[in-house]
Amino acid sequence: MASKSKAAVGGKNKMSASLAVLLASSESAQVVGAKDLLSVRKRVPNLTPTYHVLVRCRDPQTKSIAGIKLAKGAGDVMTALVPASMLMEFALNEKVERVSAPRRLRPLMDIAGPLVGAPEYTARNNVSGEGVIVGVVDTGIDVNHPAFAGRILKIWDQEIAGEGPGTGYSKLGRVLTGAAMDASADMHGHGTHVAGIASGAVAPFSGIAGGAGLIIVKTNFQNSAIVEGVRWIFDEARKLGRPCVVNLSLGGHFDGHDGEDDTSVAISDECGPGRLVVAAAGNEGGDPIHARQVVNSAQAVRFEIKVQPKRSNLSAPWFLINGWYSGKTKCEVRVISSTGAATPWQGLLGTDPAAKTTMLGSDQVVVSTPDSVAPGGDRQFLVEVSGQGAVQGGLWKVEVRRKSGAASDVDVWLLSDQERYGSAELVSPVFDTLIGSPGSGQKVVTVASYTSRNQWTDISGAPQSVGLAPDTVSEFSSPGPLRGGALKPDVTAPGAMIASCLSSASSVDKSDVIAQGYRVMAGTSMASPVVTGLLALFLETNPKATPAQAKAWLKKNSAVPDSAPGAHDIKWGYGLIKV
Amino acid sequence: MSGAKFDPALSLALVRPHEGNVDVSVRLRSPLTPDEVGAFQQMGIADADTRRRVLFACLPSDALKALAQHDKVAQLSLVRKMAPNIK
Repeated sequence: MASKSKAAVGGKNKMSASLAVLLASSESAQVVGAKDLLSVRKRVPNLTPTYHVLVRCRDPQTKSIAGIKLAKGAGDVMTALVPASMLMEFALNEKVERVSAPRRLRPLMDIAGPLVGAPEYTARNNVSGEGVIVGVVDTGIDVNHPAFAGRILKIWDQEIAGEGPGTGYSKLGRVLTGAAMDASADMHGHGTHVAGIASGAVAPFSGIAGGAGLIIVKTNFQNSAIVEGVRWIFDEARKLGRPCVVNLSLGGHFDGHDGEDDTSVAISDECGPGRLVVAAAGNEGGDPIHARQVVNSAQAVRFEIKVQPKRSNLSAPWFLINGWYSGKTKCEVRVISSTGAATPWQGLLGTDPAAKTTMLGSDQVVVSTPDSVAPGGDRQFLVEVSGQGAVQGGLWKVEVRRKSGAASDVDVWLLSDQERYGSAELVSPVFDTLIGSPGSGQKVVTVASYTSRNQWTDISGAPQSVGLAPDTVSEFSSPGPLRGGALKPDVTAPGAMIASCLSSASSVDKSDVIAQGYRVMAGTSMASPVVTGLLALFLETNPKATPAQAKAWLKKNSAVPDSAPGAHDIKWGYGLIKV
Repeated sequence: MSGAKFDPALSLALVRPHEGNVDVSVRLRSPLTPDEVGAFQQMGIADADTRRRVLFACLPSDALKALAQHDKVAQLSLVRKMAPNIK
């Protein structure tokens, strides 16, 4: 053992400091757990990281070391792809004079982290998120990924049979700890990637707060289960006596986009000193799903919906219009099909369920117009059109006319089958007010996406790119403000293209894999955990920080390009964060 | 005061043929008193407490109508599915 230890030290002495840190990380990342009980897909081979290193040999003509081929680099420096498990043997080889981590090919999280000032903040304040809980409510986590070794404290998997952690509605699923956590797999990969950005701990794809403890909810994505997940994480953190920040890289457009829906209110109500929630703004910045008109007379306003032909590949099985207007106004609604058939005008209905069904040809139209004011003070109506197989294609119209009361904006959001994107779209969209729940929550920190990279090299060495403009807010990032004018999003953080942890249980296109165990993804889903990680660092030294204090800290350290300090923009919020 | 307390999504769900229980969120006008907590638990909301403004329940449609009668209930909303914000 003594000679092995001595040799290891000698091997490390040939390494650059950064590479020695890498190796130490990989050595501490060995995790052996129970078999994956529920995974139905074959896992990809073991997630041993492979490092791209620079090598200086005693003999510049050396072709290989320990069976690993060397590639010619600049001058006498060569390069090699070395599995972490072989890095020590590689460095110890007598032909090797020096091994170091490359600086030429900077991995994407190496861009995102410095862009938001994380390394400097970490060094300046001697923080890593240690003692802080990072909660993630998402598609689960790869518990065996080295980036999380020893730091996942608990998983509430809401999709497996069990007794759940609560006494009431939250009895679904099962809470797992220790080796039993292997029973929970992240088949999608989204949650693993998100958790890696917030708190992955293995360089070169390190997340922001690699010292934090992780509590994970693999959710079924029902809003009730998401809220229960947030409540459970905060409760567990409270039992541990630790501050906590929860990441929600998820959302929807069923709500009124004013922060008054049940999900946003319930989550905001859970926030407080040492209890923070960060949410993604959404990715609908360029989608024709929102429109607005003013009803200021008895004349009807019309929202037109273009529906793809019934026999096309993009035919619409259904679409839904989610409409909102002032609670001081009373309106009637009707629907006109693409063939000209119309439902009767429908006023407010005073008894539950407040909905009527009409057949227009072979399409079923249900209009709900309850005579009630939602908790935020406004009225909502819904129109659901569903076809037999598919809705009749062409131009559908939803008309709204004022029956009494004051003039009012009428905002509508179109929801359609996400598997058939583009099957229905609003003809005259407005590209604002696209942040839905829970990003609309008053105490929630809402994050827009910045494109820090639009090109990368995949694991096979092939160049890859996406059509996003670099070094600016991402086109897809959903803009605010909220309906009613409240300012959202709060800040912007890198969200495209971001390299982070790849779940071994997920399917992935090779072009998205950047190294073994790591992949690229894009979305406000990726921007949100950057801020979650930063707030974990902030909580380490400010464990009682309130949502308002956290937001003030973020605002102080953010800026919109070419704007006055403190300026807010509907796409950028208070701008790109740099702490 | 209107009698309609179901949100439009819940109304849509209930005019369709349906069976079994319905998942809803319960929006309260204000947090419950200890006495009201007992009443709500008897109505099937096991985790009713004196702190929260939003509760969740899985109830038959008849029970929803009874729950909507309670003065403290502002609105009953159908539980809905959200999605990851991946591009």
